[in-house]
Amino acid sequence: MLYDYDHHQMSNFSARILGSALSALKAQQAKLAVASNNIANAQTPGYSRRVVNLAEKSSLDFSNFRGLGYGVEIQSVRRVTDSLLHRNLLIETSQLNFHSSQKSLLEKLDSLFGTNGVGGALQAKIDEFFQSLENAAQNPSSSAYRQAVIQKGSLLADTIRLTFNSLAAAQREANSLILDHVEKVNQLTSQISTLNQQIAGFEAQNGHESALDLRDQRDALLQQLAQYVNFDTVETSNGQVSVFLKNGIALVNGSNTLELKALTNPSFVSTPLPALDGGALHYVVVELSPGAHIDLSEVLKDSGGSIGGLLKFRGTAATATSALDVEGSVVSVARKIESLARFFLTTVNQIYRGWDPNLPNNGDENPGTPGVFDASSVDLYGNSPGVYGLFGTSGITLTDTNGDGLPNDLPNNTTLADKLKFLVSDPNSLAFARDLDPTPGTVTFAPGDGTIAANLAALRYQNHLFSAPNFSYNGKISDVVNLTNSQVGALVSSNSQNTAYSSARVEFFTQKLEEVRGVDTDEELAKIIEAQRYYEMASKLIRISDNLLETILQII
Amino acid sequence: MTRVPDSIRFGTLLSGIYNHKREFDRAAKEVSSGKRVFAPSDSVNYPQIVAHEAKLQDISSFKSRIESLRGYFAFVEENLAQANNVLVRAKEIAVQAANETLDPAARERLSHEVFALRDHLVRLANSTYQGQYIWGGADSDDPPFDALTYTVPASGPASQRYVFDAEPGTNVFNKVKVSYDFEVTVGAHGGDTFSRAIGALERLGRALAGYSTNPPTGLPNGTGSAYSFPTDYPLQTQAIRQAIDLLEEARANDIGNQRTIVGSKMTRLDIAEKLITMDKDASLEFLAKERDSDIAEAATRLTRSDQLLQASYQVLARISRLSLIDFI
Repeated sequence: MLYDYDHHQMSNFSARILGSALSALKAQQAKLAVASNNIANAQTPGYSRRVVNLAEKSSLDFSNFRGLGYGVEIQSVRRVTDSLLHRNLLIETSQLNFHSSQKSLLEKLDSLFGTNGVGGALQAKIDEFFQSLENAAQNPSSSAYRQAVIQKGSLLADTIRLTFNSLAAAQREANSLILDHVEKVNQLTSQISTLNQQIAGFEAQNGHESALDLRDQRDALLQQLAQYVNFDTVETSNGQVSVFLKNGIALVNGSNTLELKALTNPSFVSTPLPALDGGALHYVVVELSPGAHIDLSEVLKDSGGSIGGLLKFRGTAATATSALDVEGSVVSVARKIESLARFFLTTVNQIYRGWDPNLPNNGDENPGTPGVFDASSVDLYGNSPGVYGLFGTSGITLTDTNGDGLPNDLPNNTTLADKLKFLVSDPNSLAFARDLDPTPGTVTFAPGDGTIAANLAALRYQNHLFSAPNFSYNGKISDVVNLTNSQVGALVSSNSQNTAYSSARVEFFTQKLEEVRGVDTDEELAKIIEAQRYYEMASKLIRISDNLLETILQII
Repeated sequence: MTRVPDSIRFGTLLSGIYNHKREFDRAAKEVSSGKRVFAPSDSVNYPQIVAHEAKLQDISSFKSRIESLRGYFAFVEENLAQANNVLVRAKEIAVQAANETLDPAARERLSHEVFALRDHLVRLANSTYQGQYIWGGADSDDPPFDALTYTVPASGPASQRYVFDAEPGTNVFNKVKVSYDFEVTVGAHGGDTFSRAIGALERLGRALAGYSTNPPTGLPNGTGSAYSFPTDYPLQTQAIRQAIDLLEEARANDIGNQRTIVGSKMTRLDIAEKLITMDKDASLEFLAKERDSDIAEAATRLTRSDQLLQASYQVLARISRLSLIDFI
């Protein structure tokens, strides 16, 4: 019995050796395969390195010497990642894109108001215009000085118009980017929902095995989505991920998606949101039921992602009658430029008409019609200018609606800086002299009288009320330009700091996440060497086992 | 043990290279332009920089205007100096003529020079600067003194009279800004400056030529009559002596006052120029401090970023060669 027993044990040991060695060969091959795949995907964005989980093989064989073991088995191949770090990375990516989406647009404003920009020349053009008036006041009948006033006035109007139009173009660019980004969000949410379906299907079928590659792809898509909007995710038990905006609206719910839409005429408004360029801005909405839209603009603007950043730059409003009622960075700057245009259309035109607070009758030297200001300035032809005589607008006609003879009734439902123009083209038609005969209907003037030119020139040293829809400031004209420059500088600097801060945060979390999931080729090569060595050892074991059996066979 | 995957290693290096490139470009821009502020975000003082640049432009404009006004006032001063000389010479003639040893014929000969002096004075009063009558106020396209005639005589120099044409605008004067705090009034009332002097010369010339002028005091009104000699010889002498007083009054009070005013305006221009020069210096100092680049410092940064960039390239090239694969 002892012999039988020993013989039985011997054959059992050989089988065990062979079995263990064989399982080791398989395990090391699997490790080599995973290391190869890791190296192959070392540069694949969003790839999480894989590791083979090995476990001691167990058996239902309850014979003696269980302690000898049954070899090794491949328990699983898993992705190495960190969901908390990934979540933080999504949040920081949203924040970074919130700031970086505005960066290039704000840098355009920075350049616009920089030393070589049109807006940067604003102060110089204003000064040149008033200097030309000071020169004309010295020698008002000089056609050279008069021509200079026309040239500088036209340049000033052009500069204000171009500056405003550049702001309008930046707003339009932001709006176009929003349309583009909304489209990208819809593409991404659609892809995420498709992957949700595939992951749930695969994992249901394969039980213990995860759809590693699909999960990697979905994580990469979520990271791309975070560039556009800020969201929360919830993973369900079947492996699907739902994507919720900050107000709880689900863009992705399992395999279903809710599309974002960019519309100028959603169901909740009667008139489109006016843009600085005269067109319409788009609301970002979702359509929960046919024809019933919910505005997401405010929610997105206050959260993160590039769409939020672009909305903050471009501006949003529940409703607005003027493009300047919209609340956004670029609109805030545009209001100041608009106030300059309105100053030239009102105060400057009023002084040009001969209004002078030092004169009797409330500034009206020729009170022909009671309650109506009668012009007292005269050009070299003996004519007096109309209500909007020096600066006017193209495209719309400004009228003295209340009939008081003063240019003080500008419309508030339209922008005027984009339409500003200098009206006088004939030097002799510049009304620089004052009517010296107060009798209504009788004009007497001296061609060398530069009283009106001097009064106009003095405007830049005085405080005035500068106003535009949602903006009011009392001070000098140079203060308004300074205010604009300060605001642009602050916007750009603040954005630059926020972008740098967010960028550092994204870099930090990317690095931390990469430390966990990234492929280190040296590490993989070390694993390959290690696996190769163990593979060789397992091969040796098979040979040894073979030798053992052969020895026994030779005995027989 | 912290893992360092390849993506981090290369990403960090690339990020460093981008930063060095940015620093290099920035330093190169500062060195080549001589400025370090180009846009509102470059400095919190950008609005002040713009304001100071605008101030320099204003100062340039003020300076140009001051130079132009200096030319103008030099011309006016010369005009008044000549008028003063005319009156001094006229007074000499009047003093000579008042001597009762001269008979009416000798006095009549002196009248020719007096009328010539009067015509010269009228030319001075009607002179133009850059096409504008300087003594016409805002009525600058019209000669301030118009030629009229006396009833007696009907012809000849003694019949000529010149009267200030008080058209609208002759008492309107333009004020020119020559600094932020100073403005200068350009022009003066031609009537107040020259009327009495021209009137005095006319009275003297007509008296020497043998005609009385009405009224006996004040500005001539264009009437008068011929003296009858020898009866009216004392009246002629009296008229010549009165003319001496009138000439002196016109010279001292009208021409002289105006010269004083012009002199004070020239002084005002000098003060304004000094003030704006101080303003200019302050603005230039501010701009040098806040806007202009420190070339040495920028050049150092340029060199430093260049070296760092080269070092980054070398490290990247070396690291890309380092791998376990080479040792297997």
